Amino acid sequence: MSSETSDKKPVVSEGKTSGGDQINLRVRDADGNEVQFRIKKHTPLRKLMDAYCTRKGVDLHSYRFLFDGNRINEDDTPEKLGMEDMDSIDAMLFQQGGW
Amino acid sequence: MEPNSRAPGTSKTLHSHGEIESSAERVVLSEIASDASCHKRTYKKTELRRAIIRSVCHQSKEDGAEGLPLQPPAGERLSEQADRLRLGMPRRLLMRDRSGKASRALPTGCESTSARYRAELAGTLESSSEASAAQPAKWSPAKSFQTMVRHLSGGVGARMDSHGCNVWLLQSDEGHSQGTSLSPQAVDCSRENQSSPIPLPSANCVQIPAEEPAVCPHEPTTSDTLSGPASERKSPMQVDNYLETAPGTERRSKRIHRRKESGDTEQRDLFRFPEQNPGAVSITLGDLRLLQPGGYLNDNVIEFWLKFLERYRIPPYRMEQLHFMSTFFYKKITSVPQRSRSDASLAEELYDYIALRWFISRGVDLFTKRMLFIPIHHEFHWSVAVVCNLDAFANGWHSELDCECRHKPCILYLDSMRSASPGGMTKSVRSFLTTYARVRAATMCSTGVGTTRKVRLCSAGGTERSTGVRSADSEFGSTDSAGHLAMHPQSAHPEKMTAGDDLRGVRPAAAHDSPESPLRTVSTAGDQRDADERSGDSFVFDGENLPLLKPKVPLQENGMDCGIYMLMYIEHLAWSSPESYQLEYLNACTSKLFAASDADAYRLVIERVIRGLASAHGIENLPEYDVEDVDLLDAEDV
Repeated sequence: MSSETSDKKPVVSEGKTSGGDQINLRVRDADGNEVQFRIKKHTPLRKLMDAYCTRKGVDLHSYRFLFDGNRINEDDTPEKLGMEDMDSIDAMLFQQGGW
Repeated sequence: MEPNSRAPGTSKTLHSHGEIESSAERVVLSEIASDASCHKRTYKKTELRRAIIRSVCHQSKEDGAEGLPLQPPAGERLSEQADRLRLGMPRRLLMRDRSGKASRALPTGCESTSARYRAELAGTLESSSEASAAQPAKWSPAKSFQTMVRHLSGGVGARMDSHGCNVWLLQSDEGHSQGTSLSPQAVDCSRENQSSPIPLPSANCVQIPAEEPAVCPHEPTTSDTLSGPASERKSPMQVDNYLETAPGTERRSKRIHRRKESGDTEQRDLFRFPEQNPGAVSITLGDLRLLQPGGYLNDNVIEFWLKFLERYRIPPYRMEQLHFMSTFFYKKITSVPQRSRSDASLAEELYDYIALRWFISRGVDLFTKRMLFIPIHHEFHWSVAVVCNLDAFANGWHSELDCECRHKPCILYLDSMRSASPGGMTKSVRSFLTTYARVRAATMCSTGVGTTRKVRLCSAGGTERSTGVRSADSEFGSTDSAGHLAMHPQSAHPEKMTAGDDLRGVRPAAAHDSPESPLRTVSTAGDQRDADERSGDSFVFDGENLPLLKPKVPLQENGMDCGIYMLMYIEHLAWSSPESYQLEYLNACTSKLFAASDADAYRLVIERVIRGLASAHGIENLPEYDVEDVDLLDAEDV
């Protein structure tokens, strides 16, 4: 997590309604488990990815985050991607194969 | 598609591709053919690789034992950079060479993969009014380099002049970068640059010293300006961030983050591709290492290469008929087991969602595609499923009537291990496509006809249906994308229907002209799918009966190349649309697509492209992994 403190940390919030500048995003893994994040629309989604991977206890680069099938880059913001409240993000484990 | 039957407006587009191909191909191909290919049988893998490197780089032919000068000195000449960038560009170098041999006579239509392509290329060059393209003899590295840089770095030609990263590369070619801006990019711009325009600083205020190493850790207190290029050491990604963001607090936070990341060399971002686009793939240093011989490809590399194919290696007129799925698509559609009935409804819901959000809302109409490539990652193994001739459905294909049709819709499964297709693969793909067809029909129906019809559709379809329709409505009721989608099948290429397809002539337009009649016939019927299919688009999609074919393909001879093989299958199939989908014919087409040793060359090509793109983004000091050095840890601690 970077050192700036002005932005609110993404928190897991169940059932909280989002304000004007904040939205709730659901991160769903391949097994269907969901974690809900509340995040400002202008905050880079890296923050959400960091938080998710920390919760999962894995390295940040283990997951690819998809929104509507498109990869989310670290400096994308919910606003940039046109996310709406309660949209869901897919967290997919990285894939590697050879044999 | 025959070269002379392409749409009249594509000549410019073709030319831009031909420019790459002609320059890279003519020089490299001949050298490869003369050197690497004839020694191929006797070389071991690493030797072959070295031979390819040696032959590709004509400058280092004499001192070939030293290999390719991949880390040039700081003051490297442009032409040398051009050479290195060019190395990534020869397309299908060995494969084309081999398949062009007379001894490898394939059935017409697939042997023509290369021959036809050459014909297309020749046609392109002839039709092109610009004489510069038709100058293979006068090919100059620098010119080719500039052309490629325009293609490579960013994908948005208009931005290149103002994009700081590329300014230094294009300094000697300012006229060209505007005058011959490329059609594919123009198309891409209109299609993909939907994000808000980002204010860019003027070109002259950003200068990236090409010789600066980018790996160095950054001081936390460095100023936020870019005025002193030599005093600060920035990775190009940082600069991109500067360009992307409005001045403010975000800028600072990103810089901090980048600094943190740059310490971790393996995860260091090299570049994104396609730049500035949503869904861009970040290629890291670790991904580059996977392209060494024996590396297992990961989803980053696969997806990067698919996007690269889509943009630069396959001409747009052909790409219109193809669609590359994300590597996660298969994982996604198989994430719901389909064992019980409750699972089935869950899957239905998921497929609804995917169909809408992944495809329809993004304006991707799968039923206008001739080939749908679905990369499959299953138990550490890459393979690919290709759904063929879906466009035939939209064009009125019916299994009962057109059993003789050679362009029969089917699923091909190409696996370099020739193992059984993963369990549930075909079932998942089929039921996804069925769901997709239903959602697509509902979407087109709801937007193309009107509210009354939509309501009737809901009541006819039942509860499951209504969810799809409602969401479709909320998604597209007020946007243009749906209208565009509804129009899309009509504007699909008429020439491709002429070949062997026995078409009924029922066009989507007809469905919209007389919207009531199909609904009346089916509104009370219990067969929901039938209702869906007919209601929207007046074509019948019989997804459950899509046959699964497993044509013979070249098989991997080792335990690490399946990703490479998959990419090679994809590129070859993308180039050759077989004229018949009989298994025997497919076997004849696909079993000799390439030789096993071509995989090494292909691996090298991908690596070169990544290095070339990194170089175009100003990253010069990528570590070179010595092919014969077993201990890679030493090599990467540069």
